[in-house]
Amino acid sequence: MTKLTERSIGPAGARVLEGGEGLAVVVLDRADGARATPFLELLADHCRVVALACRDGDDGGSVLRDASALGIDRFTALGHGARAELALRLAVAAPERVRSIAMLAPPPAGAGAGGLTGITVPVLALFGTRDSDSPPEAAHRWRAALKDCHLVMVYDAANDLAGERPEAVADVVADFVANEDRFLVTHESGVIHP
Amino acid sequence: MKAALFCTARYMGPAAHDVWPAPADRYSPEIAERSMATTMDQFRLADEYGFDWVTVAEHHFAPMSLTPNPMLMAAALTQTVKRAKIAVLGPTLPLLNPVRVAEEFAMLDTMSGGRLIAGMMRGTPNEYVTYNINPSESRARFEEAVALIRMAWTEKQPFGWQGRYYKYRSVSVWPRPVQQPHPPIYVSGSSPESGGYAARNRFGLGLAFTTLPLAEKSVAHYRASARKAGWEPKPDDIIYRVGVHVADTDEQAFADMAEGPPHTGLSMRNRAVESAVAESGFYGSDFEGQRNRLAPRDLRERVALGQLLVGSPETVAEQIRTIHAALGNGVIDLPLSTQLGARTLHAVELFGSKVLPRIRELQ
Repeated sequence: MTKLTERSIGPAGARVLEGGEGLAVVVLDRADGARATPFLELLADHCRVVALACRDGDDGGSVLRDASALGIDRFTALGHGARAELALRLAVAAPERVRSIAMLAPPPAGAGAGGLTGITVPVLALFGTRDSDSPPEAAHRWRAALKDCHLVMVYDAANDLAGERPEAVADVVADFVANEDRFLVTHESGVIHP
Repeated sequence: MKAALFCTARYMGPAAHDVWPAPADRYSPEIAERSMATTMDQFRLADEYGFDWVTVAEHHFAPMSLTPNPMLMAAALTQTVKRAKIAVLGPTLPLLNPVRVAEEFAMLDTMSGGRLIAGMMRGTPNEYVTYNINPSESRARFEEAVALIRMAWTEKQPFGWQGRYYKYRSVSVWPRPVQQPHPPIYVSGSSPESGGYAARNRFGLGLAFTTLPLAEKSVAHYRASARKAGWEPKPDDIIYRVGVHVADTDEQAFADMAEGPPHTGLSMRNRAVESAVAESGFYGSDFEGQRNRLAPRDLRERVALGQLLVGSPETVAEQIRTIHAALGNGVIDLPLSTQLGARTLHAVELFGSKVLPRIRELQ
């Protein structure tokens, strides 16, 4: 697992967690401060992970500024729950900056929001099979609302799917970040003994 | 009481019945073909004589069963068995690709016009050698596979699956099951873990090749777990599988059975395999009970323990009444205990014409 390090950026000294190399994933983290988790450290084994603290209802302007300050032009926006909706708002507001979106347990109500039809980037939506807050049935609504949305069920996880099944979530998110829609085709070798 | 005729398509020629895997050095394709044809005749006859279900199951590498893929046999039955339900009890889920199982079950339900009974089993310990699967992961693989199959049947949008043992990037099965939301599901429930799992998920319970005292314990646990989960199992939720041979007289039936190969459960034919699997935790918490039910026993002892029904129609009906009184089961699944050609077909006729009418009223 790749350790994340904390640093300050921008004139306001915003604190971010950062680790890994390659394609950038901007994690829209909790308002009370981004924190390193096994999921983020596993994800950082495959890509450049930048976790930013975000307020609920944030319009995304600070995210774009912080990303620019870190030298990140385009990125995958990743958010859990209500912050998944912030990822969508970012894709609407700055489609040239958002390469793809990964949503963890997005709330069902968000699928009814306006403007979603304008999202043209690939979207990955993950749901826990034991999640009563965002039941798998709600995945249909997201599927209907977004043009290019891949639904993935994370077995035996409740709402905190990245906390409960970090390896499983990091695996599919990393694959999606690297390959976007082409993640449907596995590149894992079946060779047992070369 | 519903009756199911279960046939493993036993190989009718000379073969090693005391080892597993069984060598095929004396195998004859002609005998195998005849064995398959006899099996189909037995199933057709069962359908004609009013059996409610016909049953097939998965077993490997042994002459006691020529249906390593029971889905294939069930597919043939959809075209020849016109009335009875077709029970696949079952595929050994931890060995298989669950998406493929969901697809094949949906095909069978469609081909049979909604007559599929979907068993989901962990199989016997020896089966874990067959496709090189670690038996210590059996239960976890099984439970995940069941969850995935149910989602494949009920989820109408393509979905990916990120499991512990299974990973798929996109699943959307066609055809879909005819029975909605899905065909009736039965799981094996001999161990406390399996019974509790069946009850929590509102699945039917299948008890196979056990003894009546052990089955009573399993059913009591299942009913108590179901009550805790807020529901009450119906008689049809409990299947008791017990070998059967019916002849015109008790004496004839016992004499016929003595002609067949000695009974040795598949698992016990290779003690090294059985012991290694047992040490893996496969049997769960009721270790001794699970091994005890598979222990070799002589014919009379098996009959006395409710592990085998043997006798005239009246005797066998009485044996079934005893089982029903103990378990309250609504289905009795009857493996034909041996392949005796015309006498086995006669047993099917006798059961259908003289035993079935005697047990119908049992509720």
